[in-house]
Amino acid sequence: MTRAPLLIALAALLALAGPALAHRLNVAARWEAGRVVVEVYFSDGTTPAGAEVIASHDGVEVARGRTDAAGLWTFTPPGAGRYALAVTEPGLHRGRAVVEVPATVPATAPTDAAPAAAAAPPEREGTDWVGLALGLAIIAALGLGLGLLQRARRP
Amino acid sequence: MHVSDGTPIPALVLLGSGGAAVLLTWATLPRLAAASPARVAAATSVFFVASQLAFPVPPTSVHLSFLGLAGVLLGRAAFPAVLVGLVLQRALLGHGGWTTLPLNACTMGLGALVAGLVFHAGGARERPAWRAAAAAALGTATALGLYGAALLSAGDALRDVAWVCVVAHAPVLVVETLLTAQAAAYLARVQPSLLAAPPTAAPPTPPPAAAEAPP
Repeated sequence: MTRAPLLIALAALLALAGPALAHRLNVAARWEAGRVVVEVYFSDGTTPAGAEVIASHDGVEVARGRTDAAGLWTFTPPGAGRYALAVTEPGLHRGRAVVEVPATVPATAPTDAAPAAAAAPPEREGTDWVGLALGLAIIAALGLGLGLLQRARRP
Repeated sequence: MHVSDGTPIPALVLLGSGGAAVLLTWATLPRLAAASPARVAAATSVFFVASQLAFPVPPTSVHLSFLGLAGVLLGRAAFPAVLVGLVLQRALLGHGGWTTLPLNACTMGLGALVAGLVFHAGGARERPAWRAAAAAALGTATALGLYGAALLSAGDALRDVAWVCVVAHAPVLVVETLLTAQAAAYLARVQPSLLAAPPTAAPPTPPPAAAEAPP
């Protein structure tokens, strides 16, 4: 077998992969100009369009909607408090976030949901390099432990 | 390819826990004690890191796993390697879910076991690249089939989504097949012993040396 398939596969992979290589579904939310701006994204920079977002307050659903192509969705909360956001993207990756809405929200504000075309995206998390390094260190330690165990069992 | 918390029905989660316990016992007790620590750690590391190689397949995003390569290198010891990789992925990187961890171990671990079985079937040594390709393809297909079945267990609401998820992973199967075949071809040239069937039990303890006969 030649190296051509490997090179083609690697080239395609690198062309498609984002600048950061990670896969966790992240949810970022913030209170901005009377609305809660929610952004959903993978850590590789891609944004899932059509991810379902459910906003709840004290366990009661107050708004539901889907992200646009930029992974954004906004809603106007009915009042101040702590809102839980549960996100499910079309590939069934899930994410959660919590946002605090200050007490300046008018109690009579209508609840609605709309794409956040003009909203500035919240700051994104990147690849968890610390987690990767820690995981590899743990695997190395486990391998070392297995080797020591085997050596101890030898006569 | 990770099933998230809350997706499968509770009965399947329990079934996955029982299956993972049985498979872990079966795969670990005699085999892991005999496996090369370096080989186990290397395959676990590849499985752990490869899950970070994600690429978009609209409407979702998929990632590699190299569970086929783990099966080729480790045989039955691939199951605990996959389980350790999954625990670390959940704890450190947020992949999958805690309640679905045993279920994910079953879907991916069984895929790795199938890959090992296919690669080492008959103990043949010729054409390692082609045998590795077949092993990776069948192992990944097995994992994908079990993954789809787990999603379908959630009911009609997820039927369409389950098909989308499985079909979206088709490129993963192709890429992993190619890369595993290339890895096997490379190892066959530089370190063919790595492709030999892993030992199934620890080497027997040699009998104690006989006492010297008195002069």
